[in-house]
Amino acid sequence: MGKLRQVAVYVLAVLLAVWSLIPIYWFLNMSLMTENEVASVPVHFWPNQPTLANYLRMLGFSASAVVGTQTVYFLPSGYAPMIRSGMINSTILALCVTALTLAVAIPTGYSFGRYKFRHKNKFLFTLLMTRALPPISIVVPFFMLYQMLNLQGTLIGLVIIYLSITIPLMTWILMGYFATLPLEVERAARVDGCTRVNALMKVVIPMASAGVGTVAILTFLISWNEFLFAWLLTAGSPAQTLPPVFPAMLFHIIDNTGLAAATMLSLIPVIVIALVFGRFITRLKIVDPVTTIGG
Amino acid sequence: MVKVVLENVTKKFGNQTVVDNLNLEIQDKEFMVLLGPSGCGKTTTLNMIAGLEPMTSGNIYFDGTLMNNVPPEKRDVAMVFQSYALYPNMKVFDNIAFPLEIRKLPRSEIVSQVNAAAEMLRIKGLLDKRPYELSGGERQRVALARAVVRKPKAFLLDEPLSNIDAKLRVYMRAELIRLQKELKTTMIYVTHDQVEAMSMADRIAIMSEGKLVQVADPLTIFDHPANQFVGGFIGTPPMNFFDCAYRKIGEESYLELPTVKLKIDRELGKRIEEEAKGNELVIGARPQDVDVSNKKTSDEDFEVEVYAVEPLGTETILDLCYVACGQVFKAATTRRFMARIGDMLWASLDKQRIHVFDKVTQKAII
Repeated sequence: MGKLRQVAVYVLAVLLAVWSLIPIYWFLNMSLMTENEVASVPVHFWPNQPTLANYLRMLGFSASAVVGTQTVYFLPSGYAPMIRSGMINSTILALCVTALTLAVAIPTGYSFGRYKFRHKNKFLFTLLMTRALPPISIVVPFFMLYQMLNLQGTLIGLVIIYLSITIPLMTWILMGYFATLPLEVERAARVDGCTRVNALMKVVIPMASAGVGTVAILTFLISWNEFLFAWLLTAGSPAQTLPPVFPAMLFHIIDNTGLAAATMLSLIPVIVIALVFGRFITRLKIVDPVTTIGG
Repeated sequence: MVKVVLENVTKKFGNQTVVDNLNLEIQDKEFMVLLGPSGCGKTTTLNMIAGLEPMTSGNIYFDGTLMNNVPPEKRDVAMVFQSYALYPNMKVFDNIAFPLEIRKLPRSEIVSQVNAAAEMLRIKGLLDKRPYELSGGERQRVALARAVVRKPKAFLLDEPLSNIDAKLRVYMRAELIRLQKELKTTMIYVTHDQVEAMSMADRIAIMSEGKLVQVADPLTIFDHPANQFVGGFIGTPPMNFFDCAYRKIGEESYLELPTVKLKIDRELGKRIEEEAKGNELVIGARPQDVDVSNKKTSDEDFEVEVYAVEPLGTETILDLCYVACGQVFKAATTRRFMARIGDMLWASLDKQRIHVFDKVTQKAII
C-alpha cells in the first residue's frame, strides 16, 4: 500500500509538472526553430535544426541559421533596443526594489516577530489590508498622481509603487520567520556582549539567511515579473521594463519565433534562481540546537 | 567575582505574578542553586539578573551598584542556556570566540583564549565542527566554553544538564563543581532537579509559585525543611506524609495516627501547642526513617501490606499500604530485605527524625 501510494504521488507530481511546463516547453521549442520549421506539418516536437538565431536577433545581433541545406541570414529585430533596455531597466528596478525591501522589511519583520508593543495588531491588519486591495483599484489614482508629480515614465516612480507591494508582504513573511527562530540564541548574543542592533546583525540575520534569501528572491521575481503598473506607467518611455514589451510585440508585427525567444529571455532570472539558489536554500543547515542531536 | 543582591524583585506577565517580591543575596564566589518545579519563576529570575527580562518592580545590585537599567551586554555575566543556544551558523571555534570578538580583542589573544577554554572542557577536537554535528553533551561543553572564555563577573546557568543523558549528567555535575572552584566566580544555577541542587550547591534557594520558600545550605534544607513543600521536594524517594492529630493526655503529648499513638517529647508537645493553628498536623517521614520488620515490636508499630517492591541494588524500596487507612507510602530498607507483594509487615517511624508540619499553614514545626 505504501509503495502504491508513493507511485501515485510521483505520477501526480509528474502530471502537474507537465501540465504547467507545456506552454514553456512549446515556446522553448519554437524559440529554437526558424519560421519555416515552425510552419512545417506535422509539427516538430523538437527542432530538427536547432538554432540560436532568434535569440541573437532579439538581442540586436545579425544571425544566420541553416534551413535545409541553405544558410539563411537574419537582420536584428526592430524590437531589440526595447528588449535590451527593458532587460536593463528590469534588472536595475528589481535590484533596487530588493535592496530597499530588505532594508525595511528585515527590521520591521523582526520587530513584529519578536516584540510586543501597543497597537501591534492594528499595524498588522494594515499590512494585510494593503495586500487585499485589488491592484487595478489603485492603478488609476497612481497614474494621475504620477502625472502631477512627473513620476510617470520613470524607474523611481515604479520603484516606489513596487515597494508598496513588496514591503508589506515581505514584512509579513519575515515576521513569521523571525518568530520561529530560537529566542535563546538571540539572548545568548546579548549576554555575550551584543547590543540589540549588533545581535540582529551578527546573529539573527545570519541565522535567518534562508528566510531572508527567500524573501530577496521573491521580491526580485515580483519586481521582474510585474506587468500592470509597469505597462501603465512606463510603456513607451525610456524607463519601460521588459514585461510591457510583449503586448507591443504581440499586437503589432507577427514574429512568433522572436516572441518565443524574447519570452525565454524574460525567464532567465527564474531559471537562474531555480538552478542556483534552489540548491543553496535546501543546503542551508539551519537547525534547532536542541532537538536535532547529531548530524 | 560579584555579590548579587535581589531586593523586592517582582515580575508580572499581564495579571500573572511570576516572581513575587523576591529577596535574595548571592555572595561573591558562591555556588547558588535556584531550585523549584517548572513554572516557579526561577528561569525568569535568572533572566532578570542577566538583564534579559525587565523587572516589574524591585532592584538588582551587583556589588552594591544598581543594575536595573543596565542592558545585558554591559552586565558582564555569562550565561548557559537550557537549549545551549549555540550560534547555528558558526563553527565551534567562532561560537566560543564570539564574546571576545564582540569585545574586539586582538586575534592572537582570541585564539589562545579559545584554545585554553577548549582545553579546559576537552573539546579541542571539535573546534572545526558546526553545532549540528555535535551530540548533546558536546554542545553543552561548547556552551560552557563560550561562557568561561572571558572572565565574567558571574555565571548564570539555566538547566544546563537537563538535555543530556543520565550518565553524562552525573559526570558533568562533578565537572561543574570543579570548574566553579577553579574559576572562583559567582555561579547562579537554575534547576528543577533536587539531586543536582543538593550535590552542587553551596546554598540552595527553593522557589515555589514565584515565592522564595527557603534559602540554606543543602544539608540544612534536607534536615530542616521550612515547610511541607520543601520536605516533599528534596530527597529521593520523596518524604512520606501522614495526616495526624495532636493529643495531650495528662502530661503526655501524642501524635495520633489512625491506629497508633506516637508518644513525643514534652518539649515538642509544647512547641506544637504554641505554633500550630489547630491540632491537625502532618508527619513527614523520609523513606529512610521508616523501619520495617516482620514482627510487632512496640505499641507504636502499625500494620502494613506490601504493595510493591523496588530493589535498587544499594537498597530496596518497599511501597507499603497502611492497612487501617489505605495510604500507600515508601520505606527504604537494606538491599537484602526480602518481601513479596501481599506480605503483611509492621512499620514504625523513627521519632528522632520525623518532621511535623501544620496542616493548615504547611509550615514546619519541627
